[in-house]
Amino acid sequence: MTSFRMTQQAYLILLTLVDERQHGYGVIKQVAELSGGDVTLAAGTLYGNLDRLLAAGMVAADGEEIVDGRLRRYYRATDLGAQAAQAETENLARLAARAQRVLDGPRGLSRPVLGGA
Amino acid sequence: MTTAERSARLWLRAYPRRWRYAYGEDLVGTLLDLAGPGARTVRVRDGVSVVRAGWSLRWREHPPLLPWLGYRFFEMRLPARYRYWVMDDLLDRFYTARIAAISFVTVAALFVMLSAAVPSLEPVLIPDSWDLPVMLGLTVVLLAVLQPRVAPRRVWRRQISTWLPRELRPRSERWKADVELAQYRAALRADGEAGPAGGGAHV
Repeated sequence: MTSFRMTQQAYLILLTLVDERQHGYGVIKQVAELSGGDVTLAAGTLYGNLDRLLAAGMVAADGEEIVDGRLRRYYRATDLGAQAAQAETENLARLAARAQRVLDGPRGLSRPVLGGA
Repeated sequence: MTTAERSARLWLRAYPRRWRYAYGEDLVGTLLDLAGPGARTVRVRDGVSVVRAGWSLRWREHPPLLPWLGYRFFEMRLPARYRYWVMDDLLDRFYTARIAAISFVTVAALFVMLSAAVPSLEPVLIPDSWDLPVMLGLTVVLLAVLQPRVAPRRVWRRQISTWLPRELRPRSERWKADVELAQYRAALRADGEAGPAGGGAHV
């Protein structure tokens, strides 16, 4: 299996599928909510990422339903997918902590210049 | 079919046939959900993203150059991971046209290489008014060797299965494929009802 490139989009999609199964439109809405409106996935972007996640075994199809005459297929994260989301979350937290230390340094902007102890 | 659905299916053609078969209906539903009720077409942003995703999937699944050349011209076996790509390729209705185009490009490339390698041949091969008819003639010869109408049947038998799908059978024998498929499905159903020990006609 080739290594999976965890993009921000793939990460967000995976997060929406960890707790409950979702159909395509549901994932797009959840991703928008989760990212505070910063990320609005286009349909092709979603399915492109789903293809990669399915191929990597991180997402699985979980049933189909016909709603208003339209087929809806549901997806959910597998255990492997949930672990990958957890690992990525820890990576991001470590990165944020390191970033904060850089910003707290002498040239950092997060404290007033004369306010140091 | 509504105009919005027609629009969604048009964008969907960017994906390979097998992908459309497996996920197409789902993506059409999502595109229509995103377009909203009463919309006449799919949103352009979504359509463009579908084209990009479809072609990047085609690109990812495409065999590398050398194996592809071997497959194309010498019917060499591709590794198993390209099996679905081979199926799509053989069932594509532009298969014959594609083989013809590739044959012509090959002949033209040979002309150019030959004239570069043997400069004295250049006036004969390239600028003359008869080089195009000669190239076309050689393309026809190459096509006679490659047999694009029979080849998909042969390649399918060798690389995929001995059972031929309807599309690859000669026109007069297509009904046979339908009958065989129906028998096979009936046998599967009978197996399912009677359990593994129940027997049932195997096709």
